[in-house]
Amino acid sequence: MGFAMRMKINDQIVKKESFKNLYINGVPNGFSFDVQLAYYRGHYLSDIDLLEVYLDGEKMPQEAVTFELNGKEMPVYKLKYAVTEFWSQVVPAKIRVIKKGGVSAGDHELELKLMLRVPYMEIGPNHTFMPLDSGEKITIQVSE
Amino acid sequence: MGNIKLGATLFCYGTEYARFQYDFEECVRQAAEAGAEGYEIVGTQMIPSYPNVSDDFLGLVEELRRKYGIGPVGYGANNDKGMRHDRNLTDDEMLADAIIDLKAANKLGCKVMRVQYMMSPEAFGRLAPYAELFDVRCGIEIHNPETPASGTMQQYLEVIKRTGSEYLGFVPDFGFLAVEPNRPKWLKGLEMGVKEEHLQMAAEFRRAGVPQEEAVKRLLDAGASPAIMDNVAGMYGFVQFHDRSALPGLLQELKDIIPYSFEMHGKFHYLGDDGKEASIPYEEILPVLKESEFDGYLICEYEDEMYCGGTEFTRRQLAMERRILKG
Repeated sequence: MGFAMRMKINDQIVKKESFKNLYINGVPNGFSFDVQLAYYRGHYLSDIDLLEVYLDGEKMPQEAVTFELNGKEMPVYKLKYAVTEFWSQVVPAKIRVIKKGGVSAGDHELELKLMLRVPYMEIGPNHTFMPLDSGEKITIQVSE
Repeated sequence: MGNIKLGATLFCYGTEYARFQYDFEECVRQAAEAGAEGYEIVGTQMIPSYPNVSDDFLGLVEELRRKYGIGPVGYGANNDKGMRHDRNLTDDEMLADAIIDLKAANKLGCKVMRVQYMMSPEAFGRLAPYAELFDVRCGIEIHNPETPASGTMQQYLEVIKRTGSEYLGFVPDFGFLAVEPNRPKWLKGLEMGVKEEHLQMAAEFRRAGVPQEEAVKRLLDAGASPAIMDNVAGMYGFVQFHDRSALPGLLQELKDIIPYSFEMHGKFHYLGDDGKEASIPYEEILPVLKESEFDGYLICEYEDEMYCGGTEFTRRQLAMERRILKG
């Protein structure tokens, strides 16, 4: 990947403390975490070019990942059509992932790949805008 | 004589705001304390119900006006031409979005709206009758590396003249008058291990008009740290600077555009203890503004390249402007 803007205003883009297991029918079957947009202003969700979640290097299936903002939970494929859903940089979004069995106790590496277009910085012809990297790779500790 | 009022954009506190150190009220309070007589609000940054202004938010704005004595005077619009995943917005779409921005500006009581040059001159021209209805003057931001005389800005000037509307004009950003390298980027370069001699070499190349790629090659050949790439990108991009000998010409460009200007952006990046902006020569710029017929706000705008927050520098900037303009 080429040059991308990175504006890491906050210490944490992916909020470590927000990580938790998700339960389906009372059984751990996934996880969730919060993410704050790493930029000085908000963006329409349609500016998101890429959103992928990796746990210990393993890519989570796209259909198992959702993005929740202001109480609305959406599958990832719909983000690019969300031209009226505005994501403020001071309102963290919640990412949920369905994963059978949940996440085992111990240290894990969690990576969120999140790329956006900065929609007012046109850098070339044919719909080329400044890429913004708002992803992060962190280590999380899951307790028993 | 003109009538210059001093304001601040709450964007100055963008770092504190994104870190949850300041809420909206604290941003307004800080601007008032720094000496601002009014503030600019960037819609995409601080309006919770963006792109619309909710009654709740308007209520807060009015409460803070009573509390701290200042309110919004300028609306910073973003013109998000690239917001669709598959193609650029058309002129019709850009215009429709800008009209939503006009509604927000009007509801907040702003008389000026900053428009970005993503909006084409043609679409900008079509905004005039709407701007008149909402009584909001729309100014295309002249942002470094553009200058008032550059080709793109001259196209807007033609449209402004053609429509004859007093509601279309410019918001010049004094960043275009930079004559020294950007100080925060310089400091960041040093921190990253770039040697000062190589930064000076890069600045010399820029002044001498050496093309960017050649400058990079010659710097790396001279043993510069690859971290210098960020400095070079800045010097040839959004924080580029001119040789000091170009200043009289640039000030003339400013004079020429003032009759079409509704608001000024007093850009600043770094003010030392001496109260001077390190790259933008305010001692020479502000007398030009003072002697002109400019009637409006000089909105100071901090660009926080160091992520250190804008509180202290905003105080210094407003004090410096006041000293030069009203001293």
